[in-house]
This record gives sequence, C-alpha cells and structure tokens, in this order.
Amino acid sequence: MFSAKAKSEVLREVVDVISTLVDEAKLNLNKDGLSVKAVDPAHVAMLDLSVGKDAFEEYSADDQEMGVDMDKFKEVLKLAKAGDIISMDYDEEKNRLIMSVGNITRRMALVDTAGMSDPKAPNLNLPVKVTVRAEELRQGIRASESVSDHVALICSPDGFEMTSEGDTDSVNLKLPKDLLESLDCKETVRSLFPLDYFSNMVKAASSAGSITMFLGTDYPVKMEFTISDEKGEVHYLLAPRIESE
Amino acid sequence: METPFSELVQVCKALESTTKRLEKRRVLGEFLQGVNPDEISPAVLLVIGRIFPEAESKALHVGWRTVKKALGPGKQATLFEKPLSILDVRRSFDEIAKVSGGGSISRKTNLMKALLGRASDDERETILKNLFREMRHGVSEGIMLEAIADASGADVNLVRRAHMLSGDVGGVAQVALTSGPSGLERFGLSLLKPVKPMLGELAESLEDVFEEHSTGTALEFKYDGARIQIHRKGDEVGIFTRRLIDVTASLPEIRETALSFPAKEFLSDGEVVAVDGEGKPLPFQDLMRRFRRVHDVDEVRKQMPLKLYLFDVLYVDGEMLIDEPYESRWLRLSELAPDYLAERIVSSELGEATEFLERALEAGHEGLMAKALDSPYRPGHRGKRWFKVKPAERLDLVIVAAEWGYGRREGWLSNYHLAVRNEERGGFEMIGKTFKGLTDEEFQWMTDRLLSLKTSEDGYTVLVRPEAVVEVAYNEIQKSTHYDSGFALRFARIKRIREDKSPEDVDTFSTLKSLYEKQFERKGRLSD
Repeated sequence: MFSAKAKSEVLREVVDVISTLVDEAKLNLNKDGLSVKAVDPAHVAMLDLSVGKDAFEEYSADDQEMGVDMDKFKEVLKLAKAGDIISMDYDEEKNRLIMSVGNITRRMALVDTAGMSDPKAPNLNLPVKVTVRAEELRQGIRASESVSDHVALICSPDGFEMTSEGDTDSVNLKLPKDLLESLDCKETVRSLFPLDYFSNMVKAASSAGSITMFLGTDYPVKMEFTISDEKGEVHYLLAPRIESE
Repeated sequence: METPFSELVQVCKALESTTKRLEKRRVLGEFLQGVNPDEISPAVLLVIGRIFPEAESKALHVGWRTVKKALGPGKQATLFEKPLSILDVRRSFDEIAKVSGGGSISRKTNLMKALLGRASDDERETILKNLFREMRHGVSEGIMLEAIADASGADVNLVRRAHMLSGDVGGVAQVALTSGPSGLERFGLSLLKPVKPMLGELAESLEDVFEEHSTGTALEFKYDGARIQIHRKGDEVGIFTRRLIDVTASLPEIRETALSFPAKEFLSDGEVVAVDGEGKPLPFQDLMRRFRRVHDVDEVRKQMPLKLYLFDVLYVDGEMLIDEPYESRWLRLSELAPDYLAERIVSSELGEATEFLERALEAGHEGLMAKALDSPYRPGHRGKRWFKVKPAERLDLVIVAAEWGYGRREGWLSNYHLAVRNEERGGFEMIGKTFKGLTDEEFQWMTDRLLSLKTSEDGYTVLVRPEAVVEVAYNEIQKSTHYDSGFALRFARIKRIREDKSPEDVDTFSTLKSLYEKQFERKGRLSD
C-alpha cells in the first residue's frame, strides 16, 4: 500500500536529485518515508537519498519497492505549478502508480526492480570536512564550465579552493576560512573530478543553503545536503579522476 | 553473473591470431554458446565492431577529438572495483548515444573517460577498435553469420535470410541461439520496417558484365542521388535510406507520390536526386541536407525539388516478389509507377551499351547498373547478379618496388608496387600493385629505368628509389590491411608513364583519404 500527497516543488527536488544519476530508480518505501540508493551507469557516482514522511502533505505506506521511470515523473511535474498538490496512489492490482495533479490523472506503468540492487557504499576514510554555501559553489561552477571539463577541489587549514584548468585558460575560486560555514581540516587535500557530474549534483541541491563535502587526496568526494525543508537528506558520492604523474 | 568484457577481448585476440575461416567460426561459435542470452546481441555487435544494429538509427557521434580528450591525462576512477562486463560496455555506449544538446561533448568525454578508466589496457584497445570500427581480426558479418549457424544448429541460409530481412546480426544471433530455426523462420518482410537493399559489385568493364550475365542483362542509369526504399501500407508511408534510417518526415513529396500509386501496399526500391529550379541535379551534399531536415521542410522543398527514379519492387498488395526474376519485377513496377521508372535498356550489344553509359555520364549521373534479367532480389546481398559500371578515376603514383615477371613477361620487371606520398609523415606508402596497362616496349623501358633506381633485390622483388611516376586508373578505393597506407586500389592499371612528373608531384595520402571519403558521400557506409 502506498498513498501520498506532496507539493509539486518537493517532488520536483526529489526527482532532480535522482535523475541526476539515473533514468530509472527503485524507491524503497516504508511507514517513515522513502529512500533511494542508486549508482550511475558508469559507476562514477552514487546516491543515497532519504525523504521523511513529514516532507509530504499526507503519507502512508507499507514496506515495499517501486521501480519508477524518472522521465514520466518529470512529465507529470511539467503539468504542475509551484504550490500545486500532486497525489500518488499505488494500484496494486495493475502494478501502476496513479498520479494526479489538478483534474489530470496519469496512470503509469512501473519498472521491473528485479535487476536493481541497492549498491553498497565503499568504505572511505575522508579526512577533511568542509561546509560551503551552495551559491558560492554554483558561482564557481559557472565560471569553470567554459574553461574545462574537470575541476579540482582543494582544501587546506586556511580555506577551500576550486580550480579548473583548460588548455589555455584557468579559473580559480578561493574561499578563505572565514567565508566558510565550517572547516575541519588538518592537512591539505586535493582531488580532481569530472565537472559535469559535480555541476549536476550541485544543481540538484537547488534549495539547500549549504553543502557539506568530505574530501581526501585522489579520493571520492562525499557531498551532503538537505532538500524539502530539511526533511530530505541527500548523500552523493563521486569518484575522482586520478591525475597521472 | 555477467560475462566479463575481458572474455570478449580474448576472443578478438584468438580471431586475430588465425587466418583460417573455420577456426574463426569455431572460436566464435564457442564464445556465443558461453554467454548469457541477454548478452548475445551486444557481444555479437561488439565483436564485429558495430556497436549498434544497422537497422537502428542510433549512433555514438563520438569523434576523434572526444576520444583524444577522454584518453588525455588522468584516469577516471570508479566507486567499485568491478571488472568491466560485456553489458557494462553496452550500457556505456547506450548512455553516450543518448547524450545530446548543450555541453554534450564534455558529457560524452566524461562518460567515455569513465568507461576507459574501468578498462584494462587490452580492453581499452578493443573499445577503441570498436569506436573506429576497425577490429582488424578479419571477422566480417559473413563469418559471424556462419558462426551463429554453427552455434545454434540452424541452417546457415536461414540465418542469412533472417539477417537480410532484419538488418540486425545481434538480434538474429539472439533468436537463433534462444529459439532455434523455428524462431528464425519468423523473420519476414514487414511493411514500414526497412530491409537492407540489394547491392551491386563493381565491374571492371561492360565486357565482363556481358560475360557474367550470359542470359541477358538490363542496364539502368546509376543516378548520383541517394538510395531510398519506399514502404506503403494503406495511408501510411515509410521512406528509408540505404542505411535504414527513416527519412519520411524530410521527404513529403515522395510520400505524396507513393500515396498516388495504384496499390494500397507496396515496397519499392529506388533513388532520389535533388534538382535545382531548372531540373539540373544538385551536389550530393545538398541532398543530404534535405535528408536531415525535419523543420521547415516545405521551405526547402520549394528550393530543392526531388526527382524520384524507381528500379525495383519487392512486394505489391499481398504478393511477395523477392524471389521473382528481375524482369518480371520490372514489369510489375512498370504497372505500379510508369512515370517514375529509372532510365534503362535491355541490351548485350557493346556498342549500344557504351553509348548508353556515355549518355548517363553526360546527364551527370554516376554510371550504369547492370542487372541479370533472371536475378531474384536478395536483400543486403552484394554480388555479381548486379554490377556497378562506372568510369575509372586516376591518380599519379610512384613506383617503390617491382617484381620480376614470369611467363610472357619473363625478363621484365612487371608487377609494380604503387605508392602515394605521405606529406605528414614523409615518405611513400603503398596502395596497390599492378602489371596492367603497359605495352611490351614500355615494359622494357620501365625495366631499364627501375633497374637504374634499384636499391636492393631479393631475387624476386626489386626495391627502387621512388622516382618513376605513373598515371594509374582505378575503379574504387578500398580499405585494406595489406598495405601500410591502409588503402588499396581496385582494378588499378597504368595509363601513362609520367616522366614529366617528379616524386613531389605524386598524389598525397590526404588526397587519397579524401577521395575515399568522397566515395561514401555517394554510397553511404554499410557493412563493408
């Protein structure tokens, strides 16, 4: 059993976070809310999302899995304006999800979840934790996008830095310690990442005020932020590009 | 458990290490039996270097620049230490093909980098060979189809037929191995689903054509346009290119023409030519522009009208015609579309045929097609039942070595190794050999000339300083692993000795390459 109502903007955020990495996802539902674990097809990035039932206007569910096509969700969302309530009901008999917005009802076929296993996050020891205002990161990404397709995230006890080096030009965003929300860093670390992945992840954090990153040297970055008025929690993991000596 | 990609790499290596067709078949057959059912199709396509089935219009659109960037400094790590599987590679290619719009190059680069990052050195090499469709293990679709027959126990002709009709080797393999012969029998011609067109082999001369087509031949203009097949099923029309891409939306006038024919259902084969306001044929590139056009079609339609020439019909109102002889198909076509027939004559008289060829060339067409009157329509088949007849083209080449002749040519250096100049790497690269075209006096003259340029000799071949330039006629440039240039000339013969030209005047590798590419502007790139 699954039946819920949510504001369109809440659902939109959830969909954005998931579709950044995958086209189809398995929603794990239980009485307290929903969660999604997914890896992108290239195995470069991973998502662990949980949304508490408080994020919804109404919510009730039994333990169950539901395979959904994110594009179909987006189609429904296109019909809604901010503030509209979208209702979702699981039709057990036909294995469909019934979504309604206004006077429109969409009955959508679900995706087989047989091939979708919950990925296990690798064990990582990331020595540095830094919290940056999301707007600063977005600005840095905008500056980098025309220069290169990768970005280096660097942290030292003095602050956080983002650099992008192209063939001819380079871009650098420097945030000294006092402009950061928080910094826990004893050594300088640096890892390089594919910019499109990083950029899409930051874009998915559209309503988050700040993003916390856990970093190492030539190690994945773990990003944490909240969505849906802090009732949803997102963990992204992104594998680095290893620079050759 | 998904089959590791490394197994496929090993298979490619095994294929590379043997030149024996039967051994290749054995290696492939065993491999196909070993993979999981859902891996058969991707595995088959990856082995032959195809990535996507011919019948799908999907393409990676990854250029050399993107690959170079993906190979560039740094390696993309992944989150898990999991060896690459055949399906992983397939999924990555699917993912890359899906990317479009702004920022797609960098997205493709990053996906490619992620794929290459997971690959071992050997795997990386195989992936790159796939990207450039140069597997270098000599396994064509032909051998693959035989191996599919071996592995499934189905008759090879049944396998070939299914492939002709579906244009998808991977899909055929999957059906053959999972449902056997009865599954293959279900492949049929279905309207609105493209079939691979029948193709012609290049003829060296009209004389050769007449010898081969002893029971009679029809000569048609070979139009310098694009091959299309038109399907009609009631009010629905589907128009497909030689590469089986759907271009119905770009060619509304052809659709209207098809709807005017006096048959509710048919499948016809022909050529469209773009013409200017005065009806003169336009360059092929302009026609391609029309093919790609989906928006404002009405606008271009006025600027660039199309002419339709039909030359075959495979199906009319419930009647399958592919096994009927050419001549009776032509009669059916004459009833179906009398106003759109390709220009043709039935003749086995050299003088008349030569005149007809000249007429075709004068009108700006490519040459002629010669079709045996009793030939059935064999989708996807290229053979001697249909011939292309076109005038030779010429290149100035230098002789880099020559072989001592035997028989009538004994005592002369007579088989000449021909080379182009590589202006980038320096030096000369071989593109073929010929002993044709010289008179006895010229053979003697050339032998003396080459001996004066000799640098070494092994009793069989004489290597010479590259100084003797000859003008060489040929009918086609092909890809080849025989020669270091990577290309070979078909039907090369010497037209003239060019003592007036120096090695610096010899045509360059890049000229050769662009001539090769130009052939495809006309032909489209199919499985060959």
